[in-house]
Amino acid sequence: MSSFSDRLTWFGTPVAVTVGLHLLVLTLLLVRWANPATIEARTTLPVAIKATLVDAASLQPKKKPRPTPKPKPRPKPKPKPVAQQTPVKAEPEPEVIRPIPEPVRETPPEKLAAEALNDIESALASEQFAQSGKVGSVSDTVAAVIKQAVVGRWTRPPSARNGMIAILEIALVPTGDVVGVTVLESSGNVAFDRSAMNAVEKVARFPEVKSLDRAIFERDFRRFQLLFRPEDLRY
Amino acid sequence: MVNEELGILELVIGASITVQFVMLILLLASVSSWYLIVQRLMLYRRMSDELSGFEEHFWSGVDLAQIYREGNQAQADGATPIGVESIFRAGFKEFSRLSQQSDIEADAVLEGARRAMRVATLRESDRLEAHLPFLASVGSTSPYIGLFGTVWGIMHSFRGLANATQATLATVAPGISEALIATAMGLFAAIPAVLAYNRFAARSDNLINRYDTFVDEFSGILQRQTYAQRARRNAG
Repeated sequence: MSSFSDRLTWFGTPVAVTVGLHLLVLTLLLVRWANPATIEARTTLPVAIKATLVDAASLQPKKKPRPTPKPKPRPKPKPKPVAQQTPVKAEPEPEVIRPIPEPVRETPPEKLAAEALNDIESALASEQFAQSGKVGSVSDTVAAVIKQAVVGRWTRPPSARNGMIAILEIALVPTGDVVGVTVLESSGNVAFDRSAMNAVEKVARFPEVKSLDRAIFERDFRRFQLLFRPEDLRY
Repeated sequence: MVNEELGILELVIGASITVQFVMLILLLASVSSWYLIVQRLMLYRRMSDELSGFEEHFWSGVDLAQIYREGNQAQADGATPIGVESIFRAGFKEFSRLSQQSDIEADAVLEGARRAMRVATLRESDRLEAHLPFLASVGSTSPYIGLFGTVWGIMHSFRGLANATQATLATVAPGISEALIATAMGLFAAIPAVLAYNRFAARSDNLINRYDTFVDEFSGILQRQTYAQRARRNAG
């Protein structure tokens, strides 16, 4: 009897102590670990990393006309939401400029009533034309330049987070001057929207647009959208 | 934000097989060394309590045969003599067996009793020092094992970096973090083991010294008894 209880103490106590100690350490580790991570997330925010803008103007023409195997015939004439979504999703890159044709038709229908028909007509036409690949590349280049100019001026506020998206609509005149910047889709953070608008306003003028063909300008750069997304932030 | 948190569990689960294997070894090392630490701690406490108790009893002037008989009684009850009591019993048994034979010289009787006690002491010191080498091994090798896991993990995360187009800190950080867990575990296993080893080695040395002292004192008593016996026998 006594030897049994003896053995139990001799074996059981160390086992209990050992298991208890390891569990305690594990719990402490798991609990402590979780908290600093979130705090750090907040404090490290101010360290802004470089932003990248991607031009969607280039992407959209590219996407629709060029990759013939891709069966996306619908973004061309009618569905705006689809058109808007495709560029965002399709691009892995943060910023997108979308060509006007679709957004214009969608957003200000009254204003453009007169132009609308014309626009659609020309859009369709230019789309067909774009299939040759020429136009796409020209507006790609210009869009890339615009993107770079805007990124160069963009300073992101500390409150910027990954996953924020602000879409600005920018109106140009053929000389390349910016005549209007409006927030089409707010990120929900005023400072972030503001910083994006500031970036565009600072640039004020895209001289490259001047050299564009009139039809292409009307199609892609009269009104276009810029998507701001600080993709490379850590938190 | 929740998905941004890098839980230690996810890190361990996401580690490569080698690193996980290393972690498993270290966990086992830590568990078994802690088991031994607690067990040894209990053993040493019991041994030194027993030694103090027995010495007190021994020097209280009780007849040695009486102590031996009490031990017999306890043994009959199922208790095995441990520590200094087993030394005493070994020496006394040998002494009484030898001294019953009158043709054996006093020196030979004493020598026999001493030898029996030396053997018992060795057995006791074996018992005290058992498992200490294991603690020493854990203490000295588990940092290296952990380091191996870390180096392996970092090697892999850098190899993965070679394929990444964009090399950011975020690409390697989880890999390195997961690899470092191995070193942390190695140290976690090693530090208590080293401390315990040093402490236990000192403690068992101390106990063995006290046993040796007891053996010497006891043989002094036996010697006195033997010569007194012989003198009486010669006189009578």
